[in-house]
Amino acid sequence: MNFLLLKVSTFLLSLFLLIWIFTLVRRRRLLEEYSFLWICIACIFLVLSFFHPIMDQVAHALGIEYGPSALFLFLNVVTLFILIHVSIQLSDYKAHKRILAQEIALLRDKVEELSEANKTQEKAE
Amino acid sequence: MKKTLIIIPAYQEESNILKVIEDVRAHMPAADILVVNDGSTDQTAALARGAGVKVIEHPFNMGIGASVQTGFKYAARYSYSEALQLDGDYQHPAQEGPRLFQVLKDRQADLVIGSRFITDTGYHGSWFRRTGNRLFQWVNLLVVGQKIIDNTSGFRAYSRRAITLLAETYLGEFPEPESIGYLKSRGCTIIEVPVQMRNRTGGTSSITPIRSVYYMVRVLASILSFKRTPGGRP
Repeated sequence: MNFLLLKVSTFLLSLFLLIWIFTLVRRRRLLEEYSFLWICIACIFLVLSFFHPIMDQVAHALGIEYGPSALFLFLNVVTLFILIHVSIQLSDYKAHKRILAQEIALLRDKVEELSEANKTQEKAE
Repeated sequence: MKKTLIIIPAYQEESNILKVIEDVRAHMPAADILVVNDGSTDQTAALARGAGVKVIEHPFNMGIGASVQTGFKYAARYSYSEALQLDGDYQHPAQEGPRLFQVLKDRQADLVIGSRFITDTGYHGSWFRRTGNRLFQWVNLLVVGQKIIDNTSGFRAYSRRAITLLAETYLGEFPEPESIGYLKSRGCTIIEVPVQMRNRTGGTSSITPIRSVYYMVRVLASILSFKRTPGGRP
């Protein structure tokens, strides 16, 4: 097996991820507050691509025989937490959106009522 | 003076809304009527306006929970002392409205539910519906501490206190069971009264066996989510 090729390709992939995140932040497509997590993940990949024995050692310490399995486990857990986090934020946005929409509906009614009252007053004058 | 508001949440109800308004006017002539149009694309809002009732329009569809909450917000802002929630599909008989208000007053309750199941009123529904309701009864008994027989009924009268509390609480897709838990946790008094509902006119029930499982899980989640501070999330 050609480990060098694997090393180089995973390194390039991780580097690409990191650069992409920075570009997104720079172009304001991604808010800085959300970028931290992704930068951390990209950095972990970058380190692992060079020093993959770390992965094996961590796996061994956890009692997992096959190093990459530990990586998959780690990634799955991280993904799960990210998804729950996104769901929480989505719920917040939904609740906020509702409050705004209700306020718009109630205010629109008020505006219509006031302009109606205004018209009748003008007519009376 | 006592101000009464009739809250009618409506989504795509152009074939029923005028009948409902007429029904309410015939039996509760002194009450103000509010139609909350939840982003209908049909003639619901125009017809209701034409009939001379107050219409509040959501800019887009947000579901029944948001619609009734908009009604409570309106009632709270314009200082109504009591409110009646009534579906826009002509299922709930307005002639029973005064009776719900009477119970609200006589027994100093905060929520009076028009219940389909409390005695044999002729309504049975499907096996799934009945089983689901029995399950909710048990969960309500455990979580809320009161046996509520028809906790999904949307035919209910509210006191000023209930209006104020619910105007500030996020109610989801199933506002009926959710609000029972919430009001109870705030020390409100809840009473059920038997009511004979009309049969659905047109359209079929959206509750199929698979959907009812989905529905039951979500309602259970919403019953469990009742312990919140006013204002709910954010």
